[in-house]
Amino acid sequence: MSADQLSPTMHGAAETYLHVQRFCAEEVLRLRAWKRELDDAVVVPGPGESHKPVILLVEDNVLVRFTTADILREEGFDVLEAVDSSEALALLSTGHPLDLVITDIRMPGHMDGLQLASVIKNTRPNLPIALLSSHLEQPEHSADIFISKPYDPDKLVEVVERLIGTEWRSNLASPNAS
Amino acid sequence: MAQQSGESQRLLVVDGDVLVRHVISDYLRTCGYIVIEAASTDEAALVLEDSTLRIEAVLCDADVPGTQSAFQLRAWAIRQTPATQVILAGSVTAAANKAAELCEEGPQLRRPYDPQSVAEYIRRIIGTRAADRLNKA
Repeated sequence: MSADQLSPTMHGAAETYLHVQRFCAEEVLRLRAWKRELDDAVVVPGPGESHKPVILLVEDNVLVRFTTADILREEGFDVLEAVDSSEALALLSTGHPLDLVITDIRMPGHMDGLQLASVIKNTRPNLPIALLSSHLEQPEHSADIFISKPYDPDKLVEVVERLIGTEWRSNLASPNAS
Repeated sequence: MAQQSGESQRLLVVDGDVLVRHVISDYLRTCGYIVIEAASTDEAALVLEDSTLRIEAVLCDADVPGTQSAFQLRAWAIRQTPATQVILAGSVTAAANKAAELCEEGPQLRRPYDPQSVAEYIRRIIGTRAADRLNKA
Protein backbone atom coordinates (compact mmCIF):
# COMPACT_ATOMS: atom_id res chain seq x y z
CA MET A 1 0.00 0.00 0.00
CA SER A 2 1.40 3.43 -0.99
CA ALA A 3 1.04 6.64 1.05
CA ASP A 4 -1.62 7.88 -1.45
CA GLN A 5 -3.86 4.92 -0.61
CA LEU A 6 -3.88 5.65 3.18
CA SER A 7 -7.05 7.07 4.71
CA PRO A 8 -6.63 10.58 6.23
CA THR A 9 -6.71 9.02 9.73
CA MET A 10 -4.04 6.44 8.90
CA HIS A 11 -1.97 9.11 7.16
CA GLY A 12 -2.10 11.22 10.31
CA ALA A 13 -1.10 8.22 12.45
CA ALA A 14 1.84 7.44 10.16
CA GLU A 15 3.00 11.05 10.34
CA THR A 16 2.74 11.00 14.12
CA TYR A 17 4.69 7.73 14.22
CA LEU A 18 7.47 9.19 12.02
CA HIS A 19 7.55 12.33 14.15
CA VAL A 20 7.89 10.30 17.37
CA GLN A 21 10.58 8.11 15.78
CA ARG A 22 12.56 11.20 14.71
CA PHE A 23 12.12 12.76 18.15
CA CYS A 24 13.40 9.57 19.85
CA ALA A 25 16.42 9.39 17.56
CA GLU A 26 17.24 13.03 18.32
CA GLU A 27 16.75 12.40 22.02
CA VAL A 28 19.16 9.43 21.92
CA LEU A 29 21.75 11.58 20.11
CA ARG A 30 21.26 14.37 22.63
CA LEU A 31 21.67 11.96 25.56
CA ARG A 32 24.78 10.41 24.02
CA ALA A 33 26.29 13.87 23.49
CA TRP A 34 25.43 14.81 27.08
CA LYS A 35 27.04 11.62 28.39
CA ARG A 36 30.22 12.28 26.37
CA GLU A 37 30.30 15.84 27.69
CA LEU A 38 29.87 14.62 31.25
CA ASP A 39 32.49 11.89 30.88
CA ASP A 40 34.91 14.51 29.58
CA ALA A 41 33.99 16.97 32.32
CA VAL A 42 34.36 14.65 35.27
CA VAL A 43 37.40 12.51 34.81
CA VAL A 44 36.92 9.13 36.39
CA PRO A 45 39.38 6.94 34.54
CA GLY A 46 38.25 3.51 33.46
CA PRO A 47 40.25 0.34 34.14
CA GLY A 48 43.76 0.69 32.78
CA GLU A 49 43.29 4.38 31.93
CA SER A 50 44.68 5.80 35.14
CA HIS A 51 48.19 7.15 34.98
CA LYS A 52 48.71 7.62 38.69
CA PRO A 53 48.18 4.60 40.93
CA VAL A 54 45.02 4.92 43.02
CA ILE A 55 45.07 3.99 46.70
CA LEU A 56 41.98 3.48 48.86
CA LEU A 57 42.85 4.55 52.39
CA VAL A 58 40.50 3.39 55.16
CA GLU A 59 41.17 5.06 58.51
CA ASP A 60 38.71 6.30 61.13
CA ASN A 61 40.95 8.96 62.68
CA VAL A 62 40.56 12.08 60.55
CA LEU A 63 43.98 13.52 61.41
CA VAL A 64 45.83 10.23 60.77
CA ARG A 65 43.82 9.78 57.55
CA PHE A 66 44.62 13.27 56.28
CA THR A 67 48.31 13.03 57.20
CA THR A 68 48.68 9.62 55.54
CA ALA A 69 46.73 10.70 52.44
CA ASP A 70 48.81 13.88 52.24
CA ILE A 71 52.08 11.90 52.35
CA LEU A 72 50.83 9.62 49.57
CA ARG A 73 49.54 12.50 47.41
CA GLU A 74 52.86 14.31 47.83
CA GLU A 75 54.48 11.16 46.44
CA GLY A 76 52.24 11.34 43.38
CA PHE A 77 49.54 8.80 44.22
CA ASP A 78 45.80 9.41 43.91
CA VAL A 79 44.07 8.68 47.21
CA LEU A 80 40.44 7.85 47.93
CA GLU A 81 39.61 8.34 51.61
CA ALA A 82 37.13 6.26 53.58
CA VAL A 83 36.29 6.62 57.25
CA ASP A 84 35.13 3.00 57.72
CA SER A 85 34.39 -0.23 55.90
CA SER A 86 30.94 0.96 54.73
CA GLU A 87 32.47 3.94 52.96
CA ALA A 88 35.25 1.72 51.58
CA LEU A 89 32.69 -0.70 50.14
CA ALA A 90 30.67 2.21 48.68
CA LEU A 91 33.80 3.46 46.90
CA LEU A 92 34.67 -0.06 45.73
CA SER A 93 31.14 -0.50 44.35
CA THR A 94 31.60 2.46 41.97
CA GLY A 95 34.10 0.42 39.97
CA HIS A 96 36.71 3.14 40.34
CA PRO A 97 40.09 1.66 39.33
CA LEU A 98 42.22 0.81 42.34
CA ASP A 99 45.81 -0.33 42.74
CA LEU A 100 46.03 -0.76 46.50
CA VAL A 101 43.93 -0.71 49.67
CA ILE A 102 45.46 0.47 52.93
CA THR A 103 43.19 -0.13 55.90
CA ASP A 104 43.40 0.35 59.62
CA ILE A 105 42.43 -2.76 61.60
CA ARG A 106 40.52 -1.23 64.49
CA MET A 107 37.56 0.73 63.12
CA PRO A 108 33.99 1.47 64.20
CA GLY A 109 31.12 0.08 62.15
CA HIS A 110 29.94 -3.35 61.18
CA MET A 111 33.31 -4.56 59.90
CA ASP A 112 36.89 -4.10 61.10
CA GLY A 113 39.93 -3.91 58.82
CA LEU A 114 40.58 -7.66 59.00
CA GLN A 115 37.02 -8.45 57.86
CA LEU A 116 37.19 -5.76 55.17
CA ALA A 117 40.46 -7.24 53.84
CA SER A 118 38.85 -10.66 53.73
CA VAL A 119 35.78 -9.36 51.81
CA ILE A 120 37.98 -7.52 49.30
CA LYS A 121 40.24 -10.56 48.80
CA ASN A 122 37.16 -12.66 48.02
CA THR A 123 35.86 -10.25 45.40
CA ARG A 124 39.11 -8.77 44.02
CA PRO A 125 41.87 -11.29 44.78
CA ASN A 126 44.51 -9.44 42.74
CA LEU A 127 44.08 -6.14 44.57
CA PRO A 128 46.92 -5.79 47.10
CA ILE A 129 45.96 -4.86 50.67
CA ALA A 130 48.11 -3.38 53.44
CA LEU A 131 46.94 -3.46 57.04
CA LEU A 132 47.80 -0.64 59.43
CA SER A 133 47.66 -1.23 63.15
CA SER A 134 49.06 -0.11 66.46
CA HIS A 135 48.86 -3.75 67.65
CA LEU A 136 52.29 -4.98 68.61
CA GLU A 137 51.48 -8.50 67.55
CA GLN A 138 50.50 -9.22 64.00
CA PRO A 139 47.06 -10.89 63.89
CA GLU A 140 46.17 -13.63 61.45
CA HIS A 141 45.09 -11.87 58.26
CA SER A 142 44.45 -12.21 54.53
CA ALA A 143 46.23 -8.98 53.56
CA ASP A 144 49.51 -8.78 51.67
CA ILE A 145 51.41 -6.82 54.27
CA PHE A 146 51.14 -5.57 57.85
CA ILE A 147 52.42 -2.12 58.83
CA SER A 148 52.80 -1.19 62.50
CA LYS A 149 51.70 2.25 63.70
CA PRO A 150 53.25 4.69 64.23
CA TYR A 151 54.99 4.30 60.91
CA ASP A 152 57.79 6.22 59.29
CA PRO A 153 56.45 8.06 56.18
CA ASP A 154 59.42 6.90 54.07
CA LYS A 155 58.79 3.34 55.17
CA LEU A 156 55.12 3.64 54.19
CA VAL A 157 56.00 4.88 50.70
CA GLU A 158 58.59 2.11 50.39
CA VAL A 159 55.96 -0.52 51.26
CA VAL A 160 53.44 1.02 48.82
CA GLU A 161 56.01 0.99 46.02
CA ARG A 162 56.92 -2.60 46.82
CA LEU A 163 53.26 -3.58 46.42
CA ILE A 164 52.38 -1.62 43.28
CA GLY A 165 55.75 -1.00 41.65
CA THR A 166 57.40 2.19 40.39
CA GLU A 167 57.10 1.77 36.59
CA TRP A 168 54.25 4.31 36.49
CA ARG A 169 56.71 7.05 37.48
CA SER A 170 58.77 6.59 34.32
CA ASN A 171 55.55 6.32 32.25
CA LEU A 172 54.37 9.65 33.70
CA ALA A 173 57.76 11.23 33.05
CA SER A 174 57.63 10.17 29.38
CA PRO A 175 53.93 10.05 28.44
CA ASN A 176 54.73 8.94 24.87
CA ALA A 177 56.61 5.90 26.07
CA SER A 178 54.85 2.71 25.04
CA MET B 1 47.35 34.02 46.44
CA ALA B 2 48.67 31.38 48.76
CA GLN B 3 50.06 29.26 45.93
CA GLN B 4 52.15 32.18 44.71
CA SER B 5 53.89 32.22 48.07
CA GLY B 6 54.60 28.53 47.66
CA GLU B 7 51.94 27.20 50.02
CA SER B 8 48.50 25.94 49.07
CA GLN B 9 45.41 26.94 50.98
CA ARG B 10 43.67 24.31 53.08
CA LEU B 11 39.97 23.61 52.83
CA LEU B 12 37.85 21.30 54.94
CA VAL B 13 35.05 19.42 53.15
CA VAL B 14 32.46 17.95 55.54
CA ASP B 15 29.95 15.49 54.10
CA GLY B 16 28.57 12.21 55.39
CA ASP B 17 28.26 10.70 51.90
CA VAL B 18 31.67 9.44 50.82
CA LEU B 19 30.88 9.69 47.10
CA VAL B 20 29.77 13.32 47.28
CA ARG B 21 32.67 14.18 49.59
CA HIS B 22 35.19 12.51 47.31
CA VAL B 23 33.99 14.17 44.09
CA ILE B 24 33.77 17.66 45.64
CA SER B 25 37.19 17.25 47.33
CA ASP B 26 38.80 15.98 44.14
CA TYR B 27 37.30 18.92 42.23
CA LEU B 28 38.80 21.35 44.74
CA ARG B 29 42.19 19.59 44.66
CA THR B 30 42.38 20.12 40.91
CA CYS B 31 41.99 23.84 41.67
CA GLY B 32 45.18 23.70 43.74
CA TYR B 33 43.77 23.44 47.25
CA ILE B 34 44.88 21.02 49.93
CA VAL B 35 41.61 19.41 51.01
CA ILE B 36 40.92 17.66 54.28
CA GLU B 37 37.89 15.37 54.21
CA ALA B 38 35.64 14.96 57.25
CA ALA B 39 32.69 12.57 57.41
CA SER B 40 30.95 14.19 60.39
CA THR B 41 30.83 17.37 62.45
CA ASP B 42 32.88 15.52 65.11
CA GLU B 43 35.71 14.95 62.63
CA ALA B 44 35.39 18.54 61.41
CA ALA B 45 35.70 19.85 64.99
CA LEU B 46 38.88 17.79 65.51
CA VAL B 47 40.41 19.31 62.40
CA LEU B 48 39.39 22.87 63.32
CA GLU B 49 40.75 22.44 66.86
CA ASP B 50 44.18 21.65 65.40
CA SER B 51 45.58 25.16 65.00
CA THR B 52 48.57 23.91 62.99
CA LEU B 53 46.28 23.03 60.06
CA ARG B 54 45.09 26.63 59.49
CA ILE B 55 41.89 25.94 57.55
CA GLU B 56 40.91 28.77 55.18
CA ALA B 57 37.36 27.65 54.56
CA VAL B 58 34.92 24.89 55.46
CA LEU B 59 32.43 23.56 52.92
CA CYS B 60 29.85 21.64 54.92
CA ASP B 61 26.73 19.70 53.95
CA ALA B 62 23.78 21.07 55.94
CA ASP B 63 22.63 17.52 56.80
CA VAL B 64 25.98 16.10 57.83
CA PRO B 65 25.87 13.55 60.69
CA GLY B 66 27.56 14.17 64.03
CA THR B 67 27.08 15.24 67.63
CA GLN B 68 26.62 18.84 66.52
CA SER B 69 24.40 19.86 63.62
CA ALA B 70 26.02 21.65 60.69
CA PHE B 71 24.55 24.93 61.99
CA GLN B 72 25.97 24.33 65.47
CA LEU B 73 29.35 23.49 63.91
CA ARG B 74 29.25 26.74 61.96
CA ALA B 75 28.46 28.79 65.09
CA TRP B 76 31.17 26.97 67.05
CA ALA B 77 33.74 27.40 64.25
CA ILE B 78 33.04 31.14 64.01
CA ARG B 79 33.84 31.45 67.74
CA GLN B 80 36.78 29.01 67.62
CA THR B 81 38.47 30.22 64.43
CA PRO B 82 36.94 33.55 63.36
CA ALA B 83 39.20 33.80 60.31
CA THR B 84 37.80 30.59 58.84
CA GLN B 85 34.96 30.98 56.37
CA VAL B 86 32.21 28.38 56.92
CA ILE B 87 29.91 27.65 53.98
CA LEU B 88 26.83 25.47 54.42
CA ALA B 89 25.40 23.72 51.36
CA GLY B 90 21.87 22.34 51.43
CA SER B 91 22.10 20.24 48.27
CA VAL B 92 24.58 18.61 45.94
CA THR B 93 24.05 21.39 43.38
CA ALA B 94 24.67 24.04 46.03
CA ALA B 95 27.83 22.23 47.15
CA ALA B 96 29.10 22.00 43.56
CA ASN B 97 28.35 25.69 42.96
CA LYS B 98 30.07 26.73 46.19
CA ALA B 99 33.06 24.56 45.26
CA ALA B 100 33.18 26.30 41.86
CA GLU B 101 33.15 29.70 43.59
CA LEU B 102 36.04 28.56 45.80
CA CYS B 103 37.88 27.41 42.68
CA GLU B 104 37.49 30.86 41.14
CA GLU B 105 38.99 32.43 44.26
CA GLY B 106 41.51 29.63 44.62
CA PRO B 107 45.18 29.19 43.89
CA GLN B 108 44.76 28.24 40.24
CA LEU B 109 41.91 30.64 39.45
CA ARG B 110 40.02 28.22 37.30
CA ARG B 111 37.08 25.87 37.30
CA PRO B 112 38.29 22.46 36.16
CA TYR B 113 34.75 21.28 35.43
CA ASP B 114 31.38 22.88 35.06
CA PRO B 115 29.76 22.69 38.54
CA GLN B 116 26.48 21.50 36.99
CA SER B 117 28.36 18.51 35.52
CA VAL B 118 29.82 17.73 38.94
CA ALA B 119 26.37 17.91 40.55
CA GLU B 120 24.85 15.75 37.78
CA TYR B 121 27.71 13.26 38.09
CA ILE B 122 27.18 12.96 41.84
CA ARG B 123 23.44 12.46 41.32
CA ARG B 124 24.18 9.80 38.71
CA ILE B 125 26.48 7.75 40.95
CA ILE B 126 24.13 8.13 43.89
CA GLY B 127 21.21 7.15 41.64
CA THR B 128 23.10 4.06 40.45
CA ARG B 129 23.85 3.09 44.01
CA ALA B 130 20.21 3.54 45.05
CA ALA B 131 19.10 1.43 42.07
CA ASP B 132 21.61 -1.28 43.05
CA ARG B 133 20.16 -1.31 46.57
CA LEU B 134 16.62 -1.64 45.19
CA ASN B 135 17.69 -4.48 42.91
CA LYS B 136 19.28 -6.33 45.81
CA ALA B 137 16.21 -5.83 48.04
